[in-house]
Amino acid sequence: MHGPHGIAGGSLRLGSAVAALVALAAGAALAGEQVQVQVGTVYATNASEHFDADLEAMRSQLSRLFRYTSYRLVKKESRDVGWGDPVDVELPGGRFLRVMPKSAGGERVSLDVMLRKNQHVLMDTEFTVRPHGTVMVGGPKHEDGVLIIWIGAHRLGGPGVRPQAVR
Amino acid sequence: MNCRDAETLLDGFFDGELDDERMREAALHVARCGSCDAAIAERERVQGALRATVADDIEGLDLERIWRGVEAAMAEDARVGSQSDVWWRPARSAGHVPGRRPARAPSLAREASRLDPEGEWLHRTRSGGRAMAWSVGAAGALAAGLLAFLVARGKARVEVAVDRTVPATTTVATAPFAAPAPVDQFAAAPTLPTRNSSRIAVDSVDFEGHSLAMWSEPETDTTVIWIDEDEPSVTGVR
Repeated sequence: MHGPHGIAGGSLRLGSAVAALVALAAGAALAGEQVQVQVGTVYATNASEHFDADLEAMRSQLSRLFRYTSYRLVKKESRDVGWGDPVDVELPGGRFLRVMPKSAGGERVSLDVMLRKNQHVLMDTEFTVRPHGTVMVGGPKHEDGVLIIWIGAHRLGGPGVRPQAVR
Repeated sequence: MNCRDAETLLDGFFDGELDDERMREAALHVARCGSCDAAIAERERVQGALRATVADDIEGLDLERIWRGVEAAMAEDARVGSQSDVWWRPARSAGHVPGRRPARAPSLAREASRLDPEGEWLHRTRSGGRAMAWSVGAAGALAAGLLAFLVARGKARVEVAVDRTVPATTTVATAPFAAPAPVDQFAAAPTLPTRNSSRIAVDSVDFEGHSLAMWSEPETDTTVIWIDEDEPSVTGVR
């Protein structure tokens, strides 16, 4: 015979077990899944009026968001990684960017993003982005301008991603 | 903008009476300057104390009795038949000059509420160390001018959710930091769509830079985090 505490305890254990199973199932579902992480780096300056042809598709957006006269694509990388696998990107000026897809919530992808300059952590954050979402991290000084880094991610096999603006 | 310039604008900034450009400039300065931020905080403290006092006084009023007096006066006016000098006629309030801007601009709180009906644009916590003193005045100005703007000194932890609906008629300026361009090079304000699709959420930001700004362009699902590596010391003198 169970007292009230026994029933409650049993329900709690059952609930915990179900939650654990759901978590395991979710983990298993993500285990084999790949995430495409896109990282692009732009060097922006007012020293000239050059606009990189590779950034043409982003011209209007860059001009809306920033007020530089020159934008040059430094590098662009797209990597398919598993959940929890980091994407490391070397940036000019001794900087280093690490992007790690952490978890998914529906269409959303959570990313751990860390930007370092030598041993100094400039930023360590977590983003949650939708397939069409982009996060830009800007401001790091480079020569006579700044770096603007865009980050996007989407689940492969999941909801589609908008074609990246950069060719 | 330095502190001397800012001093002349602080009152207008606090009351939300500056034009958009000056509001942005003042907000940026206040967010970065400890002494001016403290000055705004002091104004908030005084205003809060005044508000509390006034609220207490109002609570003590017998409004029912006052309203009965008003009704009696209105009835007397009607009886006399003189409509030309009805004292309660609107749009002739004391101090208001037709054609001129009202003495007090729409309140920052109301502006912020209009821009952020769900109140979920900006959330912030502090985690030890020196964190910015994020004033209501600055927050209101930024709500009016920026999607989100966060500045902190030293190591701070910021929690932000850039995940919201923007009212159809809301016009919000993005805040393009274009260092070395000065802040007056902010881009023109774009009009945002009724239901934006932006669902980028920045759950937390730990950073050791001197300042950090954030803004968003919902129509392209883009959130920008700007790290200002050149932020000077926290003395507030720029």
